[in-house]
Amino acid sequence: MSWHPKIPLHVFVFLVPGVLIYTIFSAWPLIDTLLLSLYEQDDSGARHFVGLANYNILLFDNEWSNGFWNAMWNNLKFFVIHMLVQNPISLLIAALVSNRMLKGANTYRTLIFFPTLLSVVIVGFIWQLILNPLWGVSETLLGYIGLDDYFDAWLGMEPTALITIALISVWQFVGIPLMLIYTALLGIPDELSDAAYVDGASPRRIFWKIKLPLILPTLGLVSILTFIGNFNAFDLIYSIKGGLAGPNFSTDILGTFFYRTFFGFQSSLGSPTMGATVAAMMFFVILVAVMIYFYLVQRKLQRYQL
Amino acid sequence: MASVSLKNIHKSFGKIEVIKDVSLEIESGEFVVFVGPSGCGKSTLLRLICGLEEITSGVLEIGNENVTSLSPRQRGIAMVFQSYALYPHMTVYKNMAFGLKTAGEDKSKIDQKIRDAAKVLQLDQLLNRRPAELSGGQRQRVAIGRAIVREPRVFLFDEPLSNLDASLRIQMRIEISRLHESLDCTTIYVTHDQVEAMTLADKIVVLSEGKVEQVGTPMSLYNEPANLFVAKFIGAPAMNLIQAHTKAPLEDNEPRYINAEISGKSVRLPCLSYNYKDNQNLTVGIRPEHINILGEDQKTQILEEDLQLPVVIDLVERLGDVSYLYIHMEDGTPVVVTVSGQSKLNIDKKINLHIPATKIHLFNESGERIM
Amino acid sequence: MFSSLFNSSKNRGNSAFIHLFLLAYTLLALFPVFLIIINAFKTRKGIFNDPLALPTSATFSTKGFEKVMANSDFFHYFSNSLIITLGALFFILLLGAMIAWALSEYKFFGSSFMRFFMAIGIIVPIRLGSVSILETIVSLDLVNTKTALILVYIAQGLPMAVFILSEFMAQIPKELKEAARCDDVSEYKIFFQIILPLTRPAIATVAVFSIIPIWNDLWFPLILAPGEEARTVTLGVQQFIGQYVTDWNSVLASLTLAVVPVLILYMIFSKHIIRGLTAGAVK
Ligand SMILES: Nc1ncnc2c1ncn2[C@@H]1O[C@H](COP(=O)(O)OP(=O)(O)O)[C@@H](O)[C@H]1O
Ligand SMILES: [Mg+2]
Repeated sequence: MSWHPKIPLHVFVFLVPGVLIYTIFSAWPLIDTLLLSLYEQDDSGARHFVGLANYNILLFDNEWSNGFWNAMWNNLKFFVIHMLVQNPISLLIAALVSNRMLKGANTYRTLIFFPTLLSVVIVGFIWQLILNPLWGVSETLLGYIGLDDYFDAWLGMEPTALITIALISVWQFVGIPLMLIYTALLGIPDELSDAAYVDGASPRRIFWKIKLPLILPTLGLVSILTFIGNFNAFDLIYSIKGGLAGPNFSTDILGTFFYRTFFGFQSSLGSPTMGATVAAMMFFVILVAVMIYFYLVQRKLQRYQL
Repeated sequence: MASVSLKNIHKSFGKIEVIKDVSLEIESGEFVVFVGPSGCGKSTLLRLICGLEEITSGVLEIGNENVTSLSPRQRGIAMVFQSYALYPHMTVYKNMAFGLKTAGEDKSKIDQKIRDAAKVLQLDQLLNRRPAELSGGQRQRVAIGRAIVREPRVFLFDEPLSNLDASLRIQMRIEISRLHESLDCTTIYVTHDQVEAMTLADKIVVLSEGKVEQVGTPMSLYNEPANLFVAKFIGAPAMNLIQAHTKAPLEDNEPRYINAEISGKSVRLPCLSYNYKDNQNLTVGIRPEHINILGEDQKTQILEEDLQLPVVIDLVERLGDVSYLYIHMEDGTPVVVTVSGQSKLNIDKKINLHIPATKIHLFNESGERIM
Repeated sequence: MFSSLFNSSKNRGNSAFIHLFLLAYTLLALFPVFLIIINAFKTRKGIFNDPLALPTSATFSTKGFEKVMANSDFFHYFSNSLIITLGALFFILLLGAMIAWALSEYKFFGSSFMRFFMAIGIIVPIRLGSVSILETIVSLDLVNTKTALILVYIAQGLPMAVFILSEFMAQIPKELKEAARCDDVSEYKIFFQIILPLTRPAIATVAVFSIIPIWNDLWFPLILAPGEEARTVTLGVQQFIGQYVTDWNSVLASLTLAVVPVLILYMIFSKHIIRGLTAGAVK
């Protein structure tokens, strides 16, 4: 190796093919996108450096900022619903199925995980059909528990569309935090819960006082993964609501907003530079969350040697 | 302090029976050690007494009260686990307080109990540390402390010293022994190490494959092992076992002896009561420390009925205080002899073994002791 | 574990409650899929008159499937997805293992930077670089090709693979490679003949984490390969349904065609998948 004497040839050979592909198709595009957000493209396709002008437009020019903040706000709601519904359900199910004395625990775990494997697109369509008032399946089913009066075309109504989509996403993805938490719970030695049981603690107290504190790092991880997943979501809304994220943009989140900005929709043309600006904003949001995770959550939540 | 009584206890995991009809009486204040090879069911038996496993059938009484279906808490026991099972996210103090808080005791009382126990176990300086910041021996003491503060009627220990290194193990062994003296609490202690069993126990229970092989004081097990299993298990190095078979004429007129053949040689074996027939298999047991070497030890008194065997030394292991001679008999049976550490005996030397008849253990074909 | 948990009559009630809850949730997880599949085999009338009923001889119909077959090239999409997923997976595993080995075994100038550089890809979604990725793919003249998708998915999957595999490789006993080095075996041979076979247990984990997002992705097919030639199942179903929204038979049939292979594979491999996901914590 002549170009860098400190790296032996075989290390170079091991690294190069993978790192090259990763750099060209992942790392560089990210950096390039950040750079591109500082440019403007004119009708001839030529690009000019404009500094932070695109950000100024995106964040403060009403024509853009309304849409952006709407998407941001919706995305935050989308995330909060996941945190409040998906993760507690995952925790509860994981706690129940990690009990070795529970008969059929593995079967429950395996079956409940299944929807996670399906394509988001497929899931979107499945629920679109099921919630379709024309078909009436949901109404019939709700009728069995006497709730049919509450049924409505939830996906089509502004106040409920986003919540409904978020819950569909929860339905699909419960399996992921479930597996992470389940793995963490299995990692806690049986002797610890045995000891607590001998100490007179009830299963509930053992869970709250022994197990939960020990899996806090995993819950932190689940939270940040949920955040990244949610602030990068696109497929579900696109497949249910299309690029326009209706009704009236009430289900628009950053992913769909990015798509429209970049590719355009209906009559309006897309703009690579504004698209890059939206992507850069998404990057910064995720970056801030990750930093908060590392500096607060990760530092405070000590990982205990089990 | 309470007595513990096991009556026909069985335990099965699915179809596999792990504990087979164990009955046992443990007196109040007694230090009982369950000993046996790995996998024989010691832990399971302890966990049954603890209430961590459900008893398949049988009755368990603690302090003359039937506790078979009570929870560990209601049984009034505390357990020290092999891995210590300290709560990693709690300080030493909180580890010890957890059980008391669960029971709803008031804070100042809890504090008092913890400080008392900490003093006894020299944990005063460590109360605010987390388990990860403690050495193995300190963790062990915390685990014991956590049991002590509960003021249990019965203490259970599951191989508590097996994670410590050799020197610490001896030190903790002495500490546990001393603790038992001062607390005077009924203690059941599980180990696979017969030295621990011998040194700690008032009473040893030898287990094998889920059954009780023998119950007795350490010395009675050493002196009179009830069967081959116990004979092999208690004592280090293990008892030498030599195959023999009875041989006519069976001296009916002199019932103190039987004729037998060991490794092709005719010998007379002392025997008190044996329904002997011709050509029956026997096992002769003799502890390495009970074999003398003729000419080595001046004081050896040879009686008429003692055995004498000429052999060659294969190997000498010198431990300092004692040396072990490894020898094989003509039919290949290995024999170990313990001699003084100062002995000059060396490999390949021809010697005459002297086996005093009074030290011989005799087991019948099914392994039971007949003398 | 303390079995007495389920001993007393009170706890037995408790456990019945637990089963009830888990059963209800399992039903919730599976019923929608079940509903789609049974209705895919019904006539339009059957679908609407009694959606919850299994197909009967009166309502049985495979019209939907016939239409899907006639109007879309489903098997073509399917084979595209298969080629793309397996192609990307192969390179993710091979190249990922190579990087992981380089990072976990050798200390070299810039090795910690390289570790950080790869970690970025775990945290930052690759989608955010789409604008630039598209431009690169256009300039390489790879639009509407499977190659484009494979390359992007390799880049997407590598960071996680490197992370998982290097954690795993760090646990391989030193003696193994040192023994080989004493015999003057080349570093390449050590990797390919000693290390790679030993990483097999971790490969299940990497495979699960790679395959699922690639197979199910909509974004990159939509952006990089929307044309007929390289269309994946996910995109194909999305576009087909968009076209035939009102034709319930076709919609249900196409959804069923997309779900059933996954369902069958899961039935076969669920143990491996779960073991992979939980990194071996489940035996
Ligand atoms: N929860 C269990 N399920 C099934 N078999 C068990 C269980 N616990 C212990 N065993 C079996 O019971 C036997 C005795 O185990 P144990 O009591 O742990 O032995 P010891 O402590 O003497 O080494 C072993 O064969 C072990 O495999
Ligand atoms: Mg044990």
